[in-house]
Amino acid sequence: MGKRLKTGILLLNCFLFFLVPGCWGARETDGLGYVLSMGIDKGKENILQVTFQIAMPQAPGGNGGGEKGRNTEIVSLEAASLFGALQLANAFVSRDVTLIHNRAVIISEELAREGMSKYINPLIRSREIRRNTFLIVTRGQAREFIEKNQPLLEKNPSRHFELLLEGKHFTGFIPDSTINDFTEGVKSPGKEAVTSLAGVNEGNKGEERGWNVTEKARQETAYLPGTVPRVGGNKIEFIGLAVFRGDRLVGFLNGSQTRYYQMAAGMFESAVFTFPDPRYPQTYIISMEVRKGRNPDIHVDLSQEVPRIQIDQVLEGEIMSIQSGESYETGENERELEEYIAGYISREVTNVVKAAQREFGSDIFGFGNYTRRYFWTWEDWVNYSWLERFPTAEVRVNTIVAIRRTGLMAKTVPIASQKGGE
Amino acid sequence: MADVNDNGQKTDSFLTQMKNAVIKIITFQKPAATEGFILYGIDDTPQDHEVTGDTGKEKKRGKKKPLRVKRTVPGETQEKDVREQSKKEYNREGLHDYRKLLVDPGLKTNKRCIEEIYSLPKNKDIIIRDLIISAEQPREAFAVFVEGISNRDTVNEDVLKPLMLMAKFEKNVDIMDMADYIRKHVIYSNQVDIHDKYEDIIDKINYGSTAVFIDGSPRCLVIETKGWDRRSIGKPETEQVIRGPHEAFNETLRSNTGLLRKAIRNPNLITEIMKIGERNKTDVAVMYLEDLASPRLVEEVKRRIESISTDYAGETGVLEQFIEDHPFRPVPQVMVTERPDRAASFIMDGKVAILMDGNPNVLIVPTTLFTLLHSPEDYYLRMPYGNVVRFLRVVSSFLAVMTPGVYVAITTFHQEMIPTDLILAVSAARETVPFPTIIEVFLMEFAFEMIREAGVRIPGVIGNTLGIVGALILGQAAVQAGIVSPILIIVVAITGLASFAIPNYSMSFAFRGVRFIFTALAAVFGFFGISAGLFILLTSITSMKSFGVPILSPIGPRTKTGPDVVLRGPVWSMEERPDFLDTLERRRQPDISRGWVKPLLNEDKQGGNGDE
Amino acid sequence: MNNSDSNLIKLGHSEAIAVTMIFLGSKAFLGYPRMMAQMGATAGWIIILLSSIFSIAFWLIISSLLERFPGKSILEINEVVLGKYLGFGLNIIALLYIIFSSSLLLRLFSEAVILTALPHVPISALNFLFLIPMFVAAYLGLEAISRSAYISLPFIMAGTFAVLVFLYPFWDITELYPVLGAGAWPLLKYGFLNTSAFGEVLILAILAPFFSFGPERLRYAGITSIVIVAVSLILITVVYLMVIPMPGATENLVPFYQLSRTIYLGRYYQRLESVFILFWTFTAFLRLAIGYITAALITREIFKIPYYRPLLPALAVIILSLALTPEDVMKTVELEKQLRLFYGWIITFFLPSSVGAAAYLLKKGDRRGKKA
Repeated sequence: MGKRLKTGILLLNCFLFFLVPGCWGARETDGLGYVLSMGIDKGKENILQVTFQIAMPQAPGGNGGGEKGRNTEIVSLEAASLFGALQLANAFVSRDVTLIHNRAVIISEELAREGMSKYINPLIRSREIRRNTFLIVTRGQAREFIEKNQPLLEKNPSRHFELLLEGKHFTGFIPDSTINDFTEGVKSPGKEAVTSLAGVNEGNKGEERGWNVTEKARQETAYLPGTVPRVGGNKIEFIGLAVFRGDRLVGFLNGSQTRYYQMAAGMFESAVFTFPDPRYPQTYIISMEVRKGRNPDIHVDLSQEVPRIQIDQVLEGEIMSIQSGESYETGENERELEEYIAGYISREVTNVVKAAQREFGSDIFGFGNYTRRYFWTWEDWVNYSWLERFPTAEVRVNTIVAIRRTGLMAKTVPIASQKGGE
Repeated sequence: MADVNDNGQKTDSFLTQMKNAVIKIITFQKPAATEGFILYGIDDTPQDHEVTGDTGKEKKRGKKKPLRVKRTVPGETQEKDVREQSKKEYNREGLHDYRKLLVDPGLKTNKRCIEEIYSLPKNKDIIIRDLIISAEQPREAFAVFVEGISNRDTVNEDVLKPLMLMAKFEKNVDIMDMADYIRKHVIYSNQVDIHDKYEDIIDKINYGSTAVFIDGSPRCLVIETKGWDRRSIGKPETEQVIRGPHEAFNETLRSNTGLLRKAIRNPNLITEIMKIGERNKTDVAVMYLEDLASPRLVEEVKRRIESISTDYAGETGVLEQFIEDHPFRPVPQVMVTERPDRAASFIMDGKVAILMDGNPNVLIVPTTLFTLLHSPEDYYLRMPYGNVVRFLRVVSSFLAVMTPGVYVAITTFHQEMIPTDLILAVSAARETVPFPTIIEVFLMEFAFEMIREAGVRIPGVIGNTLGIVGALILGQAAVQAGIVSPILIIVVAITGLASFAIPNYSMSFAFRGVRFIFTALAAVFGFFGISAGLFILLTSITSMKSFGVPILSPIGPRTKTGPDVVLRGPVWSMEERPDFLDTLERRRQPDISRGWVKPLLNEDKQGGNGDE
Repeated sequence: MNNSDSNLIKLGHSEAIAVTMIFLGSKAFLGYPRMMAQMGATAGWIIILLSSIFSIAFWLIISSLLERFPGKSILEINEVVLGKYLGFGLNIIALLYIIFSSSLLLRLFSEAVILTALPHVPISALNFLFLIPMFVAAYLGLEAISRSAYISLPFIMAGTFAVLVFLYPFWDITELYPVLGAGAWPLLKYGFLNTSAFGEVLILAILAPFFSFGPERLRYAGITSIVIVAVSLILITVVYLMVIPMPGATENLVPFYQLSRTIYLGRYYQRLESVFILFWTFTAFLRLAIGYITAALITREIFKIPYYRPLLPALAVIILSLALTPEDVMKTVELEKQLRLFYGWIITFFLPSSVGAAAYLLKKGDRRGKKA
């Protein structure tokens, strides 16, 4: 074979290199349709109604800011499975619909009550879906949720979700809720799964309820999504969590309960609480930013007939408001405040755990993991079936609150014109 | 109707002229036979018997053998080997083979030899000056020198003047010793030799010396009168530093060796001079420190240089290609420098410098990949600054090679790697672009490389400005026209800038070439392709050697070295020479090289000369 | 290029350790942590601990065998101790083992790459593509490969540990209890069977003539590599069990990829798994190139051929066709598990140890020669 022939074949091979890209999975960025969030409902005609929120590309810095039009396209279709829906979408969406940038999977309450195990499988198995995608249960239809979701401050819905759901660090309204957390909870013999709860709020001006101040303080964050008394802003809200037993949704915890859930589950970081003033519970309130002082000490004692759960936690507080003007910043007053708040929190946490036991019968707090130390082998522990014994367990919560900071004020001087009077 | 003009010739009438003109235009005219020049071809076709033997089989297979066209001058018989013929003409009476000639006592014979060797009087460069040596018994002599490479004043003052005016002879000097006598007593030039072989004499005349042939003496005097117009010591063109000397080598071997001598004033600095090239006999100087450089290394260098047999090797670049171990690999294996300070520091490390007459680039062997990425300024700056610059250079190297490839890989295969905001921006920007990403990248890269090459050739200030402005405008225009996406411009610009940070010229070519390969691999296989490319690159580099030293020392094979591989340590901690050079002496400086930090012993603490 | 290769190539201590570590440790990037979770539940890491102890014990026996014949490789020793035919048979078994394990690993790595990086590439093409850098590297020689291994090892280890460290927010130590996982007896059993995971340390014995140091340092090199690789594997398995706990841990096909996908250090540091693809494909190339060239060198040794480079294309064909033989991913995984668990330790540890015992009994070789 002559040299020329060899060179010719070599060059042809090199040239073929450039023809290959189309064939083996190289896809241009503008050939893909990026789904930013996905909603799953029960379908009428077929098993599922799947909603995709597909991003519409906006030119960088150019005309995106001008008209406040939609930058996503929302499509819904009925299919028998998730990936069937994805395929079907390609019938009318021009680009190759892909889930690689999907940030949230939203499941309707209805579907969650029936059992989620069918839908978890594709979520884990598929390469396109990442395990840190948020898994959200919504009251109402998932489709409605996605359609009503109009982020005001962000152009990109996925960023919007991320930022919203980061709130769990400093509000405590929602738990950790990614697909990873969910599958862990579902498959683990030591705990049950939870997801964040979301809903659509059409504007709620609030009603007269006839509560006194103590109750009002207590009710401040105890809402389920869709009922928060507010007007304006994006119509969707995240507050509260969905309790699962096994793979079925069995109930909800409202926003206030979720905070105490966080404390019991050991994932509490910080939140702002409103307590009734210890000396004037009917008239004044105290606002405090409560933070985790140390990781809570959780012990489960299996030596008795019923398991005993002991939670010891240390919280730190920073006073944000003392309406009554009492000098809780120093001395005996401070201790009084601390003890009052500690007792308050302990009571609430116990209530939440008891609610989980009685109403839901589900150990969403993960106490089961603390029972592992009593067994030597995996099988023994699995056979112990903690999840069934949990509803009978006794719970004791001990809280220590240490007020560390008092804001900018060292004490409150009463208002001059009211000296001596009310 | 024929007319007769003044010469008595028949001229045609106007109509006939017109007719002839028209016929001439529309018909084919045989071109007039003119004398032309045809380069004789050399008859290379296979022997007759082979051709006949094969054509039978060839015809069966239907293959065609490539025909070689034999050109011949029409009318002449075909010469089998034209070279032989020209050589025959050239060879006049065998005198061209002057290597075996000895100086003849007869002056006229010598003169005739010189005339024939140099093809005088055709060759106007060679001057023969007849003179009479003024002694008590005047002797005829003549001097031969080449104009242009010999210094006129030196020839006049140091050769002609003493011979013609100031020759003081003591009585009779034997004619056989005449040359020696003149050398010792008469000519006061600082380099005078006596030769009797034409070989040496002609070589020396070719390099600027003057030869004096004396009537009756079988020996000839050769006086060093070298001198020609040369570029003075200037600034380095390619290796500029801010802090450091600004001298550079120039084209004269002797100036260059002089610069090195000036830097290393050590009697052990040896300069060995060899000649390479059959027809041009360029001087090559090999410089090394005898008590430091490994003798085997020096041997090997000399062996390789001396074994080169070629017609013309004029530049160190050509020399480099002759002596390097791996001619086809991307990484260069010798270091090239223009700066005497750098060359001196390498020689002090135990390396060998190869200088060549006629160009300012000096080769340093052996070298490692890390040395190729160092710049001399790293050493002249303080350690923190030097390390910052080095670190920047490391980052630039990676950027220069990998950036387009990574960009292509991410946008075509691994879109999940980009944050969502960015991917939406990228895909929006790509709305209008008609090409796939890989073509875009190649277009822009190619354009950038073209601008770079163009900038080299355009003179002066315009060149630099054109480069930058051209690139910017081109990029901007391309984006506006919707041919490329703006992010790509940034990628290409970063790559270009990063590649300018590579100090070594050959290495920057290596980087550019490798970058294209990575981009191609990334376009086809994504990150996997990049990984495969990296792997092949790494293994091919680790298998390279530069004069016996693996090119990735001291990391490839782990050898002991001072703190100067990627980042450098402080100057006073570089105590040992690199291990892989096998130098005769390993230590550069003792453990404590700053004498003033030694703790004082038994010193009275009385205040004394200030605080510590 | 010829038999005097063994005179010219002299690898140093660090390079030997680097080569062995990569030869041993690259399986961490495939299904190894999952198998530990399957076999030992929450105590998978104990299995690794046990098998490393067993393998160190075996290795001590093998290296004392090597000490009797300083400078010779285990292949030559086989022939010396057991005679020509039996030794030849033993060597062929070792050769087949290396070829089989290399081709299985080739298939597994290509499957892993297809799964994670290039979903639409056909498996045969990818296998072939893996082969090209392997071939180039093997052609360039053992020196080039070992130096590359030495250079890339710190980066690979840094990358691996970066993944583990970045997952810190997800660590949950309670997932590691119950401590004994599957139970003491299964742990012991699997710990012993799994010794073959460290069986590749035999490569030190095979490449012994290429090393510039003697048998004592060889033993030390083997122990060091086993220890470091064991520690790394334990760490990877521990983090894997902490982040993706039992029983979900037994589900993942490519555990390391899942781990790198889970990294979330904040909004901007989240989608980094493609960078880790770079790291472990590099490891794959190195491991396969080392296996490939070792197979070529063994063949050269056994059949007394003077060159090894002409063997490379033939071996490439063999390895490629073996790699394409299993029908799907799960069959390959099963095959690899069977091959390694049940036969691996016999071939790589038991047989050389018995050769060692035979040498001791038949009093062949110098007895405990140099103890410098």
